[in-house]
Amino acid sequence: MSFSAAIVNGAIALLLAPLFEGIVRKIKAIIHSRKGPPITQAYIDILKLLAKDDLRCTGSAIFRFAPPLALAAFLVVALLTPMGAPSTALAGDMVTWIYFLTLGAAAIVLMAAASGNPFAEMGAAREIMLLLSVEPIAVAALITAAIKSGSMRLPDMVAWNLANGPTISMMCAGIAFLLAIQAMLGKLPFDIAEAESEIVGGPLVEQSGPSLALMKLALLIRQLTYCFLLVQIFVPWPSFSLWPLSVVAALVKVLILFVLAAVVEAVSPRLRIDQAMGYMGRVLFVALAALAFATIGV
Amino acid sequence: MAWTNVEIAFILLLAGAVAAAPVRSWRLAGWMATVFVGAAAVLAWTTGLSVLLGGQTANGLVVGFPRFGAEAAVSLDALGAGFLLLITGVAFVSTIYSVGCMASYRRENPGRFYAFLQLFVAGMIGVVSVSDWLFFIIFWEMMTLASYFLVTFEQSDPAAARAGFKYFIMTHIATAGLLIAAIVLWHNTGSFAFEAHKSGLATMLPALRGLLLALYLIAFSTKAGIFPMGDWIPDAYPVAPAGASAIFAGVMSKLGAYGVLRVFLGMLPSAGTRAETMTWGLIIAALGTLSAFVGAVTAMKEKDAKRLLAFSSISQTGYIFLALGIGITFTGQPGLSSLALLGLLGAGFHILNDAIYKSLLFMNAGSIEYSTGTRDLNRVGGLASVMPVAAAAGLVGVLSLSGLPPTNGFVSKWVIYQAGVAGGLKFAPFVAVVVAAFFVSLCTLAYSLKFYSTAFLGKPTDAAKEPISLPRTMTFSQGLLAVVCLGIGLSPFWAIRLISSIFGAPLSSTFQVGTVGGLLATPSAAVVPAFWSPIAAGGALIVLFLVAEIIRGAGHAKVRTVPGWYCGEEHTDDEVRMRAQGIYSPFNVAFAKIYPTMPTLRLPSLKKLRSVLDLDSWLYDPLLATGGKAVDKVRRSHVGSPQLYMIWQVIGMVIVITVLFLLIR
Repeated sequence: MSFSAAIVNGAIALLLAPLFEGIVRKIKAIIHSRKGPPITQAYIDILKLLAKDDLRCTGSAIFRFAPPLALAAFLVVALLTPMGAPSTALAGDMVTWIYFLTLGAAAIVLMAAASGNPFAEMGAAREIMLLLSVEPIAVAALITAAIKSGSMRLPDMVAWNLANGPTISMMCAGIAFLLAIQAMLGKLPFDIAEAESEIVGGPLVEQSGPSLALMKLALLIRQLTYCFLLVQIFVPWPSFSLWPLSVVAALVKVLILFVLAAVVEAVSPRLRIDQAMGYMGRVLFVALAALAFATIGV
Repeated sequence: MAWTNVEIAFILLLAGAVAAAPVRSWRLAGWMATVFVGAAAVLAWTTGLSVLLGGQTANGLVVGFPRFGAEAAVSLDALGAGFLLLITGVAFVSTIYSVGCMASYRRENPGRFYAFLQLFVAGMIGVVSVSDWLFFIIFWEMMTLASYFLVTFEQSDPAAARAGFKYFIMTHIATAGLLIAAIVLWHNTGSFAFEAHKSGLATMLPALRGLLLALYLIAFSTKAGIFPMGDWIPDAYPVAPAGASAIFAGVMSKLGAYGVLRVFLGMLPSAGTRAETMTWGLIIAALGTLSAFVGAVTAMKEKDAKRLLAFSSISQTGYIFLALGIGITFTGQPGLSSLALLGLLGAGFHILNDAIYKSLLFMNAGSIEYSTGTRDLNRVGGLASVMPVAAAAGLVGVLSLSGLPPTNGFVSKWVIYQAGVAGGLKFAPFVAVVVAAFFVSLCTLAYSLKFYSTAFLGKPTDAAKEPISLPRTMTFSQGLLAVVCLGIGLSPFWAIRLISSIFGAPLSSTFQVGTVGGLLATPSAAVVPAFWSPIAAGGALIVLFLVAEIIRGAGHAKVRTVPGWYCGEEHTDDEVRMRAQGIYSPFNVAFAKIYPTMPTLRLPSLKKLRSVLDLDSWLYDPLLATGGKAVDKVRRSHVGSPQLYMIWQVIGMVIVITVLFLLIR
């Protein structure tokens, strides 16, 4: 990636991720006929947590270093994600993108296990199972793009789609990705791992203060990167020759996606993990259909 | 007739086996074996490296049977040399590990373990350094038999006897196939040489050729542990001592891949038609994918540490076969040589990486067993505080196994995915292979995190409250392998360059060194653009980690240590533990029937075979008893005075001289 892309992507991820969360919460509140927190609530939460006591239930080094590692891993993913800014040969490929995402998830799971809290471990196991059912869809969609564009690199996929217009297989892959995005964002009906409605909140039970702030930020950045990937790879239009305009366009598309996700979340009940896996299994068929379309060249 | 270092290494190991046999002290036998295996490793590495870097074959004739067209000549080419380095390296580290680890087998006989260990390593060295099918099979059999005795080492354990028996039967049926193929081709060509068999295959009826190739594939995939044929693995790996199963999983299973490379890459493309090569490549890739999937999904529900790793072995060998299949499919196709090389490169690199991290993880599981006396993941926990070095090494091992950057496992998977996508562009079914490979990789992450977190993280269990700390040899060997994992991950160039040269191609036909020292896929018609820079990505990760630490420290928050929170109610740690069997249970229910349980062999006639195989009962123990009695008799007759012996000697001399005198006359 060129230097400007690194700065832009990093800044968007670090500074704007909480904003989208605030917007989602506001929209959910409106649908629920509540007043809701201000749009800046997520920033306020994180800043407040940074000053709170950091409670450690174990002396484990993994517990200590997993939150910054997870944040760093998701930030690397953000740097690799096409967000509209120009990128050069240095940007990694889809394998790197997926594996850094997985590295962050692994950090979360290890942290939960290190805490020794059974609720955290259960949340971590759910996190892995959700990953197992969601990530194949993302992978199949990305491989569709790789087959169509003949490249493993994400910027090449964007460029190919811009040059060759919408195709059946790419649309199909995009739809599969969209159907899975709710789970990638960890929102209802798939907030099974995060479990924000439960009294013990998934893998983060034992996190507090600045560590919790880092984890919250990391999860928000992960949501944002998934959204950017969907809108830039599968719907890269409109694109402008002046790249800051492209970034703005991408941000608007991501905002629309978040609004959509908020509406779905506000009206959905929660699924059990086995139901979610069944749903994702069906979505996977859509993604595989996209792949099949890609291999026959449509 | 000059002897090469390989022969000297082989003879050293035989001598080591003989020397170790009578030793009764675990420590002495262990250090002796370490010296012998270490010396053999140094010799093998000097020759292996000179072959790899110099590009010339090391030759040396030992013994020939010109009448049968067979000769036991050392003929070490680049492929064999690569495997030789791997075998001796892993064997050496495992032997060091065994010195400490085997102390927990006090009741057993140390001579038996170390003698067979060295015979086993010698057999593996023999397998990769001959170019003659007869001696290939002889050494293959030597390796198999020696490993059988390592599997059944713990004689008080009936599970070991059962597992060893299954192993014995399955691998011997497979070896019989190998032997049939060799004899048929010998009958046709009058020689056992690899080259002769290649031309023998070429002149054969296609149907018969297919049959022979099937025999080869069955034999080699049985040893490698490919899914339906590798059913012995989940039984045999757990019961063998950890030092031995580290070598089994690390290198012995890779020799299956070696055999496939020899036959399906070395012989098939020039002997068969292009369509045949492609068909066999596809079969190998399909077998590999199936094995990778079944192994990984089954490993997710295992709760025995070593059995979980055994299934992981089935899965990872599947990865290797999958990449091999892609490479073989495109071998000899015009214009696709770089794509073929990409697949082979992925396979070769994964062989190297899996050898390192899998032996590391078996040592890790052995450490758990050594320390707590159990392999059951339900009953262990929180071992990181007892064995910090092993826990750190294990973390590197599981991260490598799940292919997370910046470890070595990531780089080989990265190459394999590229080969798959590039292959999919040419031939659509490979797309399905890549999707399956990604899914398997996630399952790998799931079970390796389960293995690691239940054993090392969390709170100590009641069952394992008094774990023993590890001896230094055990921590050293694991730490060493972990450092190698990270080293290869951070600078994969030399390894990739070496593996490229094994397949006779310069690195530049697939990769070139891109910006920031990254690996850049060489722009070419057959290969997809891809880029990985461990320095750039690792550097970004470190910088962003520091940024995260700065953010965390920005609020100057106080750090306090508090007890864990169980929803307000006080529980003991054991009451509320999340046990290994419960993790991923919804997923495991969905995939409950994926691994069929095969019926155990219960034929009465086989009991006799088992008793024949039990060397202790009819060979070792009686021999020892007879020897002891003889020595006893000698001792009893030598209690008199020196003068008495002088008289005996004089009488004896007189008798001898008389007899000689009579004979000569």
